[in-house]
Amino acid sequence: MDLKHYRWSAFLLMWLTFTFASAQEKHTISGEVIDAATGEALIGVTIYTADKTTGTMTNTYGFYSLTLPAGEQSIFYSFVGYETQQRQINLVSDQTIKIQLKINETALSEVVVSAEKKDKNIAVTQMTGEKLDMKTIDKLPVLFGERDVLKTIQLLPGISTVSEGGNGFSVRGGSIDQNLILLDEAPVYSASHLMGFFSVFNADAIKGMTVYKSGIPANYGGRAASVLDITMRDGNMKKIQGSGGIGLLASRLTLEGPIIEDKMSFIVSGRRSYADIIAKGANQIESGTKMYFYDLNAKLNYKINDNNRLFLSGYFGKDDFGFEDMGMDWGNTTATLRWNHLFSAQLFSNTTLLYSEYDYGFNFGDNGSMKSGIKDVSIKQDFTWYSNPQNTLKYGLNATYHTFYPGEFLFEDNSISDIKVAEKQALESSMYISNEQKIGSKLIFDYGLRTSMFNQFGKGENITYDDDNNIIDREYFDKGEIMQSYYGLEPRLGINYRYSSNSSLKASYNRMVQYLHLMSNSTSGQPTDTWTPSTFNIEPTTVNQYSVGYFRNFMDNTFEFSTETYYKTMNNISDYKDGTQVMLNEDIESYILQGEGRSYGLEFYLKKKYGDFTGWVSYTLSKTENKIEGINNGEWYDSSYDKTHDVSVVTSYQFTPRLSVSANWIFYTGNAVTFPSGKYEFDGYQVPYYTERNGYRMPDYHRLDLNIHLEGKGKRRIKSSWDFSLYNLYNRMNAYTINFRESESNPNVTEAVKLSLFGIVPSVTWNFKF
Amino acid sequence: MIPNNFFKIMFYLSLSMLLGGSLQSCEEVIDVDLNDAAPKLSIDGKIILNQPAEVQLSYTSNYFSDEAPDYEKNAIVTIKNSDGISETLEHSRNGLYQGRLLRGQDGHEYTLEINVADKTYQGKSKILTPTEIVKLGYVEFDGFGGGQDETEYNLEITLKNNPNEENYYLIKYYLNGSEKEETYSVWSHEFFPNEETIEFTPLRFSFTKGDEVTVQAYSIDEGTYEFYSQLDEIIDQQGGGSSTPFNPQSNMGKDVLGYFRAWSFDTQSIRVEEE
Repeated sequence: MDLKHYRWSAFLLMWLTFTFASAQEKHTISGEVIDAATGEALIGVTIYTADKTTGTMTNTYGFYSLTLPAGEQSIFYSFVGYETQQRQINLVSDQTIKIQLKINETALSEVVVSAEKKDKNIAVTQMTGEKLDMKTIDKLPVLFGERDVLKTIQLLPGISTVSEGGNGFSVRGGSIDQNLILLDEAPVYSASHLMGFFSVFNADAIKGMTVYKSGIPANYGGRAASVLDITMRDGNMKKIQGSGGIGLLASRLTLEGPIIEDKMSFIVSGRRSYADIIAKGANQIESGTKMYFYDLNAKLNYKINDNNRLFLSGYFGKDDFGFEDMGMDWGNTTATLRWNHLFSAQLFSNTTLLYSEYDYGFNFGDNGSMKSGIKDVSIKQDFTWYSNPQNTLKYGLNATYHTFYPGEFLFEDNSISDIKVAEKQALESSMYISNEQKIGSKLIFDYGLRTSMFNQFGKGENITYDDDNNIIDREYFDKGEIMQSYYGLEPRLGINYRYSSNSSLKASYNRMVQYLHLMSNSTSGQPTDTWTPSTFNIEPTTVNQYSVGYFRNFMDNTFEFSTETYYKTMNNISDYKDGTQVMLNEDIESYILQGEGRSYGLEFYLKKKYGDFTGWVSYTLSKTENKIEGINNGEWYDSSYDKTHDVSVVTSYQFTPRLSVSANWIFYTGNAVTFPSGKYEFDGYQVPYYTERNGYRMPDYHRLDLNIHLEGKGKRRIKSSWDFSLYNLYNRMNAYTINFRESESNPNVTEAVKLSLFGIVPSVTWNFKF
Repeated sequence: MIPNNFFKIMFYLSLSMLLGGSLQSCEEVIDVDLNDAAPKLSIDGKIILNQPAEVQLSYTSNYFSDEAPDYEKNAIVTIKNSDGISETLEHSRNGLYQGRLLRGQDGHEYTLEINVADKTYQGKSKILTPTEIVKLGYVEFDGFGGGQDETEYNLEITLKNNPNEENYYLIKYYLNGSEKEETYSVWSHEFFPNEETIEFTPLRFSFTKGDEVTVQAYSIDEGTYEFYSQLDEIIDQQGGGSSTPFNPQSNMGKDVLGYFRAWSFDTQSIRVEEE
């Protein structure tokens, strides 16, 4: 990193911030915006003056701050699905204004409140910071009746499914480990249950999420392709309430309520699958069989006073499969403690302490056991300074101590020496500063800089290998000694030019540095994948992305249309030498090959937000390629994440207030795969002969899903609803894998065998609320 | 290899449980349009304890072809032991080259050299201490709870092991007098205590009442262990599914397929008696 450059950039940022502040007498209104019924903080509420020239939005904690000229002011608070509130104030000093917004019972139909600011998509800087609320997710058809936030985002342009049913997703050609998935700010390292068919996020406990795929704000870092920021609900501040659901595969229950009314609340949400219990009952499996997952979300939310607020949230989840003392299990644990503090009406601070762990293990009964995982302890300090309506400055720092335990195999028999892959430790730290600056009424700049540093610590050794993976040198390091350091300078820029009242042009650039790598022999993500730091032998991945987009709303903002194009260069992306054994490989670093990648694409998105008929169509045309010395003779080859066409059609129709039907159709080009281009005989076997990496394609994938949502009758004490889903309605046997093998009936004949996972899958879920 | 096979079993076990009952996963033989790569030489060479060397040379063919491949009949094939004694193998038929004089000896490292059309390929392999099947038994497979129709059995194998050597084993499993093994597995000394005998129960091969099972236990060197591990990944693609396939690394050179191994084996049979 060039320190001189950094100083200059910081100076420039400060200068720009102050340039546009004027000398007129001003005061600040600030406070929080909450849901009137539950007390839940509302994220992304727009607050603006009557002439619509000055405005702001609530942050993740529902907080806002707006500095306005002294005098009479008319302020509007507007949020989709809620009644817009207007406040008339005489601004003579700084004021705290708490707002409670009421749900607009008719808002989901065609009633349009004239002041409602529905053009948020063209007015905000983030090109693709797509916010999804749970109402949208609730209505979509689902596999096995489980609502799933990760499956929903895969219906957006630029975000593609990696494999059927799987939760691994690829953003604009990035690999699955390039997505930063945050749950209340804690990184979640493996976001799937049941071998990837369900995400770990229990929809009942989730308030909403935002996904960034370009123009990623400077306060996020550490992953190269995207950020998925998921916020857990805070819990009802007004009254005790519960909700849940009983499905075919899993059931869930959520309880929430005030501990001290309007001051302290809690939410606890649990979910467990019970296919094993049913199967045992039906004598399909024996009693010693383990086959389940569960998870638990909990959060405590305490408003100490107007200036201080505490949140304690945690997640614990586990999958367990096996028989008696043999089997495997894996799971995540996260804990976040956050303290919101207002230094002044304009300076908002958040301090976060967090812990995140992911591990998996195998038990081999009498033979032994295996364990592997990653553990993070992190401290974060973020400030937002609402200096004036034209400038919102964000800055902060973050330090994370990672512990990697790549794997050990402990033999039950003490006379056999255990296999241990050395534990690794690293400190990842970063600082950032960014400013969102409005220039006139048409132009918004969001520019920032993130600097990051990664130090791998001893004890350990830096090993030098030759081309044949033989060790040629070892350098030992004691505990605490720095083994390897890397630095990153990550500029971020977003520009939004409001071309007319209903259209805008947006452009962005971001550079991302990723210091962690996922060791995996598959592209789709499996629980046995192992995280490893950048080391002496593995360099951090860096990505530069340029993106331009045009956003336009039609028919009084009922329709939103956007098209975006992007170009991305990737450095130091990793792959393996042929035949690498990833698990428990002490010399895995010598098998990793690094090279470059590039991805470019064009995305279209048309969404109908209001009315009885809602939904969207998204289409992505893209190309992603890699070039790695040692693979495919060093020539460019299609990445495993390359998808030429990716289409999602999502529709929902509200027939009556009680009945809605939704359907989605998905189509994408088959993954690039390696198939044989010949065969040879060896020791009686017909062995496939491979010539070209990813030179073939899986068949195209498509499927239609249907969901019928039926609300219970009238106003009963327990509100209930039913969801009837049909996954893969026209029963297409999409290929999950294609294997090449000798025919079982005649070993002299070789054949290609397609494995399909799901035909049509019906499911039903009963949901309740009390 | 314990972990590897186990992972595969666990993955498919959980998948099949998930999909069990009303939900169906399905396998189907399909047509795939594959390219025809330029023919490449493949070497299948071996020397067995107390037997002369044998080398089969052939070329790759179209993946779906059911005809015999092209054979290399004009190669010069030479084998040499650690004492420097060498023999040139003679071509008998269909690319098969056979030795007569030089026989495999315990503790010797052998070098195989092949000259084809001005290109030379060379590889080495060593015969380690031969193993012996000390005991062959079977045990009822208690399953993973999958409710099989018929009782299944697994083998219990006890092999002789040389504690002073880093031994590797290749076990081939034959069913009811078949010439070709049902499957094989490889085992490393790392998984066992350093003792005179080792015991294990291979989970990947099971059988039922009345079956006659023959086991061939090969003592192999580390290179052969690596090769057969890689080969297993390629010919048994049940697990992993989406991992990138590759050509197992030959010890005969970078630009050739196949392998040359020097080994010894012991064989024994067992029948599950009807009660």
